[in-house]
Amino acid sequence: MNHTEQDASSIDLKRFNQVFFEECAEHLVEMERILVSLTDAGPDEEQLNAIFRAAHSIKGGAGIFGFQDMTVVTHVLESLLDCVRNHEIPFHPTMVDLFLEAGDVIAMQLAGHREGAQVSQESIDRIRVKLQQVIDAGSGVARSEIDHAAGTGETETVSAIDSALPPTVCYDLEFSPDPDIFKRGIRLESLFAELEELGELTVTAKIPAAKDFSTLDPEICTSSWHLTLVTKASEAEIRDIFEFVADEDQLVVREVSPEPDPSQAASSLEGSCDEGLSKVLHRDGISNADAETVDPALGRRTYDRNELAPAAFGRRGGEAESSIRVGVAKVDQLINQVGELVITQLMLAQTASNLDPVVYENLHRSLLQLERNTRDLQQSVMSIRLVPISLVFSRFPRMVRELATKLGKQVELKTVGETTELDKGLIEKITDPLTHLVRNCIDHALETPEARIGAGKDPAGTIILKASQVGGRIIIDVIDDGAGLNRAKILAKASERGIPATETMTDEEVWQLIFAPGFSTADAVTDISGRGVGMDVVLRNVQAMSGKVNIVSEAGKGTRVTISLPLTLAILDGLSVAVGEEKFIIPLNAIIESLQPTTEQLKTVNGRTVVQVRGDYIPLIALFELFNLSTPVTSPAKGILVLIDVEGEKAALLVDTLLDEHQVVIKSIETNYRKVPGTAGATILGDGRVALILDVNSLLQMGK
Amino acid sequence: MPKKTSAAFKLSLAGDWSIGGVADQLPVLTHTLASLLQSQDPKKKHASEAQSNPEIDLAKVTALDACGCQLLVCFHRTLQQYGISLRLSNIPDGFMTKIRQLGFGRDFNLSH
Repeated sequence: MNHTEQDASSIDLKRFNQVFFEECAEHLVEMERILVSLTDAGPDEEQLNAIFRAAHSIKGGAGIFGFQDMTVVTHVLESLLDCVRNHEIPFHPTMVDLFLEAGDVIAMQLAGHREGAQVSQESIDRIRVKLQQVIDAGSGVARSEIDHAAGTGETETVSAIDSALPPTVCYDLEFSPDPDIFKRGIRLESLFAELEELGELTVTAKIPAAKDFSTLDPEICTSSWHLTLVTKASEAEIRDIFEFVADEDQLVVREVSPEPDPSQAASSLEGSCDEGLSKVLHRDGISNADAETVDPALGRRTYDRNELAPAAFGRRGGEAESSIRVGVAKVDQLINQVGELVITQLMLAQTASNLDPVVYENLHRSLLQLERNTRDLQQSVMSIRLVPISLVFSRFPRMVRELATKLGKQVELKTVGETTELDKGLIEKITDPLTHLVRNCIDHALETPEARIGAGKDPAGTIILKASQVGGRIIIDVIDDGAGLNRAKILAKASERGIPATETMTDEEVWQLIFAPGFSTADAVTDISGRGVGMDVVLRNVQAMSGKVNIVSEAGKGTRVTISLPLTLAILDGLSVAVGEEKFIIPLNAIIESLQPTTEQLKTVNGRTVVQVRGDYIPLIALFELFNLSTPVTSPAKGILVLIDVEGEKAALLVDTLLDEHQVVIKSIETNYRKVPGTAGATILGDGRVALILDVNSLLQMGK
Repeated sequence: MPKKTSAAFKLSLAGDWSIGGVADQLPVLTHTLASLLQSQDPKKKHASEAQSNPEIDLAKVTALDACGCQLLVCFHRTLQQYGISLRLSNIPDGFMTKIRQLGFGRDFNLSH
């Protein structure tokens, strides 16, 4: 390989760093998901293998991409997991915390490489030592148990251990790799070293009879290998090592002696297997000097250095990919372009509306077809940004487990509707509010096991995270079966803090008080919650996503907090209204009704104009005044009032006239112009004009 | 640069004998093969006593993998057809392990 190729190769690896980061994060999530789902009974074989594979893949990937520091913890973690899955060290429930801690350290290292976050070497060293200590102690215990049993004649103990282990089997392997295996940078010595870790291995290379040496292509692999492995590992485990290296037909695995005496396995090999076999390679037989020069097995991905090769990482020629990774920026660009297409389609439709439908029948029919296709395309493109809410939910099992342990509570977390999809932008923003809510549930809502038993409940409390799509909105419920909100306590605390509250308030109104900044009824401030910072943040964050929060609570039975979010932030259902020469879009979800008031309905209270609607006095906000527009409609009685409701707070927007209902593509006005107070963005209408989208929250504030 | 001594044939190999460098090493072996065969009776197809057991010195080899091993074995097999048997010498410890680990030990009669 010349320098240019080496440079290109190094660039290629950098290009793939991002892939490694994402895959590593996914492996960590998967590992954590399995670990927190374990009961005291421990993992089954499948779960252990899955955890092992995750650690193995991270280590392999880290080695390939040159993040050697990440292989340090993963290596010792993988070793311990390997001991556990091979029953060399018994599983103990406390290992879960250790594995989780190891995962955290790996995540910290990942963040260090990906985002330049600070990495604590002390944490790395600490977890590495802890894992190694468990390996050493575990091996010692296993050995001493066997020694003790042998010494005291307790042969049944040894037999029990032996019988618990899988039988030793001798496998014959015929490995005929791809001719381009060398070019792919696959390191066969690492592959064989990994096999060797499974048991006693003999390797014989078979090279076909020499042809004309002068025409030999040294980079083409003409060799095949015969391997004999005496191991307790299964055929699947052996094949797993070849997973990304050999096709099904390139590896033949045969069991040659079903259950040989382990003590004689090595010697029987000499007789049972090919006469030309090299001597058995014992792991311990490699001198220290050799061990230093031989590269450590860095996992299967280490073998495949050339990721661009068609057959790299187990990819086979012509094999269809089930998914591809695309940058969010590219998706956003696509969404933006489809948005432009929708606007163009609207313009065409508006222009065509002036044409005679009889004369231009074909044109009208084609435009209708265009409209349908455009909408379908828009929906398809929008769905690319949709991701399952399981991405958020998956972080809670561990959090719940740790907080419950810390607080001495028993908590069962249930998740429902994890496949519900919502916009990626919303997923990122909903995480913090949900975290606050779940923490509150554990800290305040759920009682201690003793208190629950006293109340005739199961000692373990339940938290349900439920997601569903209702119409164009996503509903997320956080439900607990705890003590419920304490009405009297909330009212007392509100009164203490000077928040207007009366005994006549409905439950729903009382529950809303907990969203007041700094409001907390917790008797003690803990590091988990109780500082009153949380529910107001929850509300603000949800409102920032055009969402709503609703609470239903029953004393002694529990609480349900419901968050309602729009499906996406990129398009909006709105009502277009006219004020003078300008057009505005009011989000449909904020509109209660619209009406033309009579002069009797209009009053002045404390210098402010209000409209009386069924007994309610609703403050009036004249848009022409707010945006300094000239319009002939300055009297509310001559215009239209659009009543809006934002989290129980109402207002009446005075507009000249109502125009139409639209699904509009939201454009950032800030990016293209500057922030306009009272607006959430802009859109382009069918006639090509820009209409401002009103931000009803800030309008209410401005109206005050 | 490979060196050949006249008394007992000795070929000193150097550099990268892994997939990254084997293509560049091939001419060294081709040239050696030609000179070894040139000096013997083509009809007999057998090497002279002095050249029947040439030595390949690996002391200066910096990298070796399965690809390099395969090339050396092919070279060896070709020479064997003419009654010449190679002998590897000065094998760095790491390479010795690697050659055995890759299953090429028997081809070079390496002791275990």
